[in-house]
Amino acid sequence: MDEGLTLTRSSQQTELDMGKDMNTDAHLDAAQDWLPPEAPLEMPRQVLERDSRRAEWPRLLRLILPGKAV
Amino acid sequence: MSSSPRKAARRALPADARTKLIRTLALSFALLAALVASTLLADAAIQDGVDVWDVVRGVLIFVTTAWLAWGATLSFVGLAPRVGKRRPAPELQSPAPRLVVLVPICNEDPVTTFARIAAMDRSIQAEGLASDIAILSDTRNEDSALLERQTYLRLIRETHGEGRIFYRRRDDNRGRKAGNIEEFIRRSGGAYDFALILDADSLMEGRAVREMAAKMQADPKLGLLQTLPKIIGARSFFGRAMQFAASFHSPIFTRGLERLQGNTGPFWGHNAMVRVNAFAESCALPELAGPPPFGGHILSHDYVEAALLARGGWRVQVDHTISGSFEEGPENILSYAKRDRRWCQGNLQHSRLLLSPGIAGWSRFVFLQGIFAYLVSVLWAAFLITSVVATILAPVPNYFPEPHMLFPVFPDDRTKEITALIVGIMGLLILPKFAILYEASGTRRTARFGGSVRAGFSVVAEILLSSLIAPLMLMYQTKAVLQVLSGRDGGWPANQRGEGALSLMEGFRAGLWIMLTGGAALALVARVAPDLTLWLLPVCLPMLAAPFLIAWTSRPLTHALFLVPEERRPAPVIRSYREILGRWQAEPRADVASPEATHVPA
Repeated sequence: MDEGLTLTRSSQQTELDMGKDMNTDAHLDAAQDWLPPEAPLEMPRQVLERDSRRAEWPRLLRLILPGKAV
Repeated sequence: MSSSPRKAARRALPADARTKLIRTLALSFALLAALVASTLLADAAIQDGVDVWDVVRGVLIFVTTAWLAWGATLSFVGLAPRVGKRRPAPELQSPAPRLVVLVPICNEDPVTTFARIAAMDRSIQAEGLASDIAILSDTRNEDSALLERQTYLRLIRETHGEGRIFYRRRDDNRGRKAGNIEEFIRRSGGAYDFALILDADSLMEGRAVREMAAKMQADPKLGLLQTLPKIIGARSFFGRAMQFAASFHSPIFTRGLERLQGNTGPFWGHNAMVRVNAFAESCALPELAGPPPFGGHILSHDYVEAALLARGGWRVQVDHTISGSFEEGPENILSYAKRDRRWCQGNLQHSRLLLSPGIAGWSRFVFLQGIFAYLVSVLWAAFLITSVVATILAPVPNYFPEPHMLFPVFPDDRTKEITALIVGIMGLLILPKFAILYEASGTRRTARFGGSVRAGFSVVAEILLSSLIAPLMLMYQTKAVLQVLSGRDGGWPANQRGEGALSLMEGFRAGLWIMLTGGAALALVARVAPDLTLWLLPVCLPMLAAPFLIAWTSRPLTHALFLVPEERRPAPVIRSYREILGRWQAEPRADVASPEATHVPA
C-alpha cells in the first residue's frame, strides 16, 4: 500500500519555496525547449448536430426543463 | 474545416452475428425481468382499483428493474464460458511503431505525477520499446506551473529523457482534456503512429504498452484499444472496498461488455491506446450550441470519441486481459460524489448527441446507458415517493361491497407479491457478485485475493457497504441530475487526489441534508402511512446515519479484508513508482539540471 507517500500541500509549498530560494526561475526560463517535435496533422472538426437540429434541440430542452426561459 | 459523416469514406463496421445474438439475449432478459417486476407490482396494486399512481409506479418499476437487470446481464454474459480457442497475442513486428505516451495534467501534484512517469519510462525502456512521453499541461496556477517545470527537470535528470520526454503548457485550456490532446495531435501527431492516452494518476507496465502496440499493429482497423485499469493505492475503508470491487468483479463485467459491444467498444478517457491518424480524422470535437450544462464543450468527451471512431469505420475495443494497467480511485464518499457530479453533467449532455448523424446504433445505446446511469436514481426516488402517495390516496377498503352482506370481505393480502418483488430486485443486485465469487473459486482466482474464504468475506462486506451507501448515492445523484436539469453548470474542476480521512464535522457538512431528508421522510411516512414504515427503513436508516457513514468509511482500513493481488505483490512499475517517489519526497530540493542538459535538439 501507498502509506506515507502522499505529498501534502505544505510539502509542495516547501518545495516551491526552496525552488524559488534557489533562484531557479532564470534557469527555467532558459530551458524552454521542451516541446514535442513539430509534425502537424490535420484534424477536421466533426459534425455532431445537423444544422436544423442544432437550433431546435436547445429550444426543446429549455421548453421541457425548468429554470430556463424559452 | 469540418467533416460530415456523409463525406467519410468509411462506414461504421457492422456487428457480427454472435454479437447481435448476445445483444438480443441480454436485452430480452432485461425486458423480461422488468415485465415480471411490473406485473408483480400491478398484481399487488390493483386490488383496490387502478389509479394514476399505480400506472406511474408500474412504469417506474419497469424502467428501474430493466436497468438493474441490464447490469446483472453484463456479469452473466461475462461469466459465460469462452467459445473457441483464444488466439495467441501478436508480437510486435519490425519496423516498430512510433509511440508516444500522452499525460494531460491540470493542477495536479507534479511530484507524484512525474514520479509515475519516471516509473513508466523505466518500465517501457526495460521492454526495449522506443517511446516518447509528452506531458501536456493545462495548469492555470502560475505557482503550480513553476513547480511542474522544476519537477520536469528532475524527471529529465532521473530518466535521461532529453529529447524524448517533453513538457508543454497551453496558453488557454480550450476544450479541457479533449482540447489539450487535440492541440498535441494538430501540432505533433504526424510524428507518431500510436498514442497511449493516460490520466495524471495512471500507471502502466511497459509490458502492457508493448502488448497494446502489438495488437494495434496486428489489426490495422483497430482505432482504439482500451484496457481495464485496476485501482491501486487505496487506504480508506471506502477506497479499499472500491479497489477490491474493481479488481475482483470488474474483469467479469468488462468481459461481458466486450462481448456485447463488439466493434463499438468503450473509451474511458485514459489507459487506452489510439491510432493517431484515426483519432485525428475522426475526433476533433465541436462545441455544442448554447450555454452549459447542455451546450459548450463536450465534457464526457471519451464516449463521444469512441462513437466517432466507430462512425469513421474504426474498431474500438476493450481488452480486460491486458494486465499492468492501473489508476487511483476516490478515497471517500464525498470525493466519489464530486466526481459523479462531473460525470453526471457530462453524460446528461449526451442527450444532445442521441440523434447525431451517422453514429452507430450501439453508440447511441451507449449514450442512453450513460444518461440512465444517473437518471435511474431520480426514477428510484420517484418510485419511493409515488409508493407513499399511492398508499395515502388508496381508498378505504369496503368490507361489505354488496348490501345486506352478513360477513365482511377482506382485501387479499399481497405481501407475498411485494416480498417477491423486493427479493427479485435484491437478487439482481447481489446474485452477479456471488456468481463471480463462485466462478473465481472454481478457477482459483480467489487465491490471489487471500483464498476463497477471505475473498468471500470481502464480497459480503462490499455488498453490505454498497447497500448502506446506496441511499446516499441515490440522494447525491438525484441532486446532481436536478441541478443539471435546472441549468446549473458544475464546471469540470480538477480532480482532488490523495485526500485523507474526513472528520465527523466534515461528514455532517456533506451529509446533514441527507440526514434531515431521511428523518423527515421517515417521520412523514410513520404518520401518514405507518404500514410503509418498515419497508422504507432500509432506505431511511442509512440516510439518517449519512454523516457518520461518510466519516467512518473514509478512515484507514489496514485489515486484510478487501485484499487485492497488488497489495500482496505489487507490480514492478508500482514498486518502481514508490521507490522514485519516496526518494524524491525524501530530498525535496528540486535540483535543477543545467539548461544545456535539458536542451532538446530541433
